[in-house]
Amino acid sequence: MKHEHELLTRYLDGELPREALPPELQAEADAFHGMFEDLKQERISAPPWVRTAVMSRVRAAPRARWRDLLGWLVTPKLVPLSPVTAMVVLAAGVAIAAAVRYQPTAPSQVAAQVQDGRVMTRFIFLAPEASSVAVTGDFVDWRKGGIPLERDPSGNGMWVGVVRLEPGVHQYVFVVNGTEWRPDPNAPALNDGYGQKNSMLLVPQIRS
Amino acid sequence: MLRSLVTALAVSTLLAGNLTAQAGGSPAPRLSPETEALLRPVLDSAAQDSLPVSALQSKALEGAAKGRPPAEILAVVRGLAGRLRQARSVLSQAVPGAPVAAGDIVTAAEAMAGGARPEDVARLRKNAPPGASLEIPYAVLGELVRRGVPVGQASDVVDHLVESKVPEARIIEIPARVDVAIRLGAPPVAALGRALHGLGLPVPPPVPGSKGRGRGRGRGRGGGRG
Repeated sequence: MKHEHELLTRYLDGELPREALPPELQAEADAFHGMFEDLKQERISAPPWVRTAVMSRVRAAPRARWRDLLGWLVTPKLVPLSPVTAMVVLAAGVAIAAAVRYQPTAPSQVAAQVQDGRVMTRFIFLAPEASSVAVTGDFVDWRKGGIPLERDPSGNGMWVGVVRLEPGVHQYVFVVNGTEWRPDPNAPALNDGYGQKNSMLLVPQIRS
Repeated sequence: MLRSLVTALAVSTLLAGNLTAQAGGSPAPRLSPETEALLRPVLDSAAQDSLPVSALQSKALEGAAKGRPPAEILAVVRGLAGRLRQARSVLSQAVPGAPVAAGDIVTAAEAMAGGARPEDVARLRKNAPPGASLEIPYAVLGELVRRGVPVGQASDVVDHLVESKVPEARIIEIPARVDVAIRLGAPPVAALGRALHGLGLPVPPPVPGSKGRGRGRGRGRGGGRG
């Protein structure tokens, strides 16, 4: 009996063809089909009290705000935008992207290591898309080529270089791709007098 | 006569672009003949007034490297020479007869350009231990004032640290600590207090009725600073 029931269930689930059923189950299967057809034809309406009870429960259920927000976010919308506004938004996006692209994660550091009275100083700059980065400043007479930094081999987008500096106050900038002069965003900035900013580095006297 | 000769020789050497670079790489930028001609009187005058000519030369080379026109370079260098002259005067008058270090002149000028008062610069020099370099303290004073710390209080703190012979390496850490405290919402004065506390540095004793002035003991300094 149990086996017959399983065969009928598998047939109704579409796993078996009708011919796989024994004759008595085929008749029973036909009876089921007839019942399904009858149900399809019927229009069954629930009593009025059922609708009232269901709707009162639906209204009583708290509506999660995050669902509202999620629904608003994922629903496509047509936003009217003037060309000027669109250009401003695009420019802001580009500016933010550029700022993120060139923001170093750490300022230049002064290492407590002295050589010939000069202090080993490490310069760090984050520029993943750059093809070259150099540091230039008063310590190299502001040569455009400066002192080239090396790309960190770990692939984190950092450029690093170590320079021996005299103790005191130095001004410097990074030169990206040989043309872009960029101050260190994490170092104090000074007006250079030419309408740009220089970064300032204080190198202490360290007694070895 | 001999001094003038030495000065002229030094200026000529600088203008010829014979500065030695500290690292290898591309050659030092050279000034155009036009820029050299414009700058020569400014640098001659600066050398005669014992100003740090190398700082002026560096500013000119910076302008050239950044592609600025000769007239603009001249204006910037002339302006810097004026600030250096004022700073040197303040430092000389604070301790008459004592030599004034080139680095002190440069950073004192920067500090005053950032808002430090001449009297604060002079007081720091008077109260510092003999022979102490003030290049870093003046730079830190300027940085604190630029961050919004009232100049009197900034001056009091730096003065006290120098008097207490706190190492430069510790004093240098203050501006960055102040930055952090300000980013966390502290007003500049409170940020300075937190920075000093966090670094374990001595805080100057309050002076009744004083807002950052009047602590100068004026005991003067000897020479010894080259």
